[in-house]
Amino acid sequence: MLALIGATPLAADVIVARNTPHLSFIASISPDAVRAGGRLSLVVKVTPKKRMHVYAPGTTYRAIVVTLDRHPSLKPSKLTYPKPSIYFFKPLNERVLVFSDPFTLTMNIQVGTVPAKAAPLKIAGTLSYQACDDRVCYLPESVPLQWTIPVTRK
Amino acid sequence: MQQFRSSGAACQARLADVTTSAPRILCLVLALVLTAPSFASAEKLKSFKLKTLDGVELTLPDVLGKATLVVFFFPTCPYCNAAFPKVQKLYDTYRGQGLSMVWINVVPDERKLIPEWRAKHGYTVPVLLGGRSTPNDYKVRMTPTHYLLDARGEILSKQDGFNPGDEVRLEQQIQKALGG
Repeated sequence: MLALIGATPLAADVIVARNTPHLSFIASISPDAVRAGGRLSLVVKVTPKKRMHVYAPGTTYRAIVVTLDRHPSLKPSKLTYPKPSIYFFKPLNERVLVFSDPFTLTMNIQVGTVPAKAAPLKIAGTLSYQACDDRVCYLPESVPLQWTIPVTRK
Repeated sequence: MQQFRSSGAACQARLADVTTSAPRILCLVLALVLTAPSFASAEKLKSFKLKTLDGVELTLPDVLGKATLVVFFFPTCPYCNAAFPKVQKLYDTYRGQGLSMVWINVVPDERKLIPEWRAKHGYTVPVLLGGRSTPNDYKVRMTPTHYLLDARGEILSKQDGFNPGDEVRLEQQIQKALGG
């Protein structure tokens, strides 16, 4: 049946869910199949653990970021962040931009030509962040990400 | 453990009452083992061989003083930046009395930030460049992590993190380690 409608009869692996000591996240790509010239949407829902915060862009600290490995068929757009909150860091008497409540990062990915041998599309990347709580900072973390997206030919 | 210790003490008290030789010997051994002072040596910080910013290789024995403070950090760590002006001040105050100090960077991709960061803050404490295995080697999961060592490299105290006021306790520990 799938072969009749031209769909690639391969399973998609479009959701990555992880739990670290500092946060949990679900990173999903949609749609779960793509054609050349189409577009994918990456959505990463992050939930910091209790008392934890991670940094937003615009500070001197390491901001949370999703980066995709280079792929000749993919052109990712800039990562979009929600509005951060302001954390008063008392030891240095400074206000910093952080995410301490659940938040979502998004990225659009333009799909170019996909050679037959390159299908299904294997998209790899990394979620990087550095978390602190109200007493210590934790070492920067890089969590590997990978999705597999079938490529339709119609 | 508490149960065993009280069994040992009870054993000692009952020695005079035990009439057969085997239980008496067993009781004696048990009492000696459980009430003897511990002969376990204090834990030593694992030795390292790391480079300074100038490329000079230093080992732990090279940097040991009468007391030594080893601090694991990275330049963009907020709590490290809160702690270090105070830690630098301790170095300035007690260096002449035998306090040695090194700060070990645990995020290799931030090593390029260190020279400017040191100059900006006026830090003079020697910095060593840790490798990718350094956090695991020294069980560093958070920063700053302070280890205060005696002259033999044995760990006197360890502290994770920093809050205002911690420098007071650290100074007291340093004074005690220096014989003050």
